[in-house]
Amino acid sequence: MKKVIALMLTLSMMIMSLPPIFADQNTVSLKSDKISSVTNSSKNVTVGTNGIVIKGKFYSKKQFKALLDTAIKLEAPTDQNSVGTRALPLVAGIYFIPGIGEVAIAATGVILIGGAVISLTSWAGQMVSNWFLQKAVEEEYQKDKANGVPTDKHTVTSNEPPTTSSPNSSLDLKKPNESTKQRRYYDKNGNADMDIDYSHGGVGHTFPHKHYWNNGQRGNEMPY
Amino acid sequence: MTYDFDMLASDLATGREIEFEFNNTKYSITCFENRTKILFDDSNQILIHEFKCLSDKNELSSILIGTTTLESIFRDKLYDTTTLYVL
Repeated sequence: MKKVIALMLTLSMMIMSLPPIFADQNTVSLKSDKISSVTNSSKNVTVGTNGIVIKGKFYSKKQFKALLDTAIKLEAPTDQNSVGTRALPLVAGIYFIPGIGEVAIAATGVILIGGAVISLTSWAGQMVSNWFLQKAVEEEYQKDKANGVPTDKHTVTSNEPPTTSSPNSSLDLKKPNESTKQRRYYDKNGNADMDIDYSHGGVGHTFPHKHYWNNGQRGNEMPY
Repeated sequence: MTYDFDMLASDLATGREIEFEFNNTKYSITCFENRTKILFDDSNQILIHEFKCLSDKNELSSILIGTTTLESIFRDKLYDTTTLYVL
């Protein structure tokens, strides 16, 4: 939760305080978790009204969003207190997009795509910052699910837990004056993802145990 | 909550498990060793039925608890609705 809030606050502050930065003004290369060099010579990325040109190839907004969804995480966010004076700390780690290069948000308020800087106030900058925010929420959800703890969006019901609910949420099945029977997790699309059963009838069960959901089907009991 | 026999059949077919009370006795339909499901009398620790096929509504409807069919128990809301758990 702290990580998501920190990222939201950072992005909000960036948007409010930044002067416009244009994609073709700077290029940046990333090394490990630091920005190792900045030059003004290349024009790798240009943000237009209807799309973005990266390394000479045009991507519509929809295509660019699809590209972001293929990104692979390379690095965790930098500890902003531990970096040297020449390094720029990153607020959300570094991701890699095949064919494009690295994507990152620096705490100084620049978004880096394929070695170029783009403005946070542009549609592409907004799309990237929203995408990073969504990634942070999903990572928190996965962590909460792995630890078996309630997510940020958590509710309790005494009725049948539905198979769909709010994305990245959790739900406890509990009747008044009884202990929690089950905790269900809902994935980024709001579909039932995993159950932790704390108790129920029958024989041969070990509690707690878990069940994963797949395409609306509840799977076999597994050790928790 | 309106939970009827069709909902029960549908939920069991998707792998869900249930608990309910009928005539002051606790029952459950749960997985057994990840290969089948059983209807179990949890109050008296008695196996009532082992399912051959969870998607066969005819099999489900014909199961008897005492002299009452499972279908009737859910269709006619003979179970204690406050005790129903659908997992």
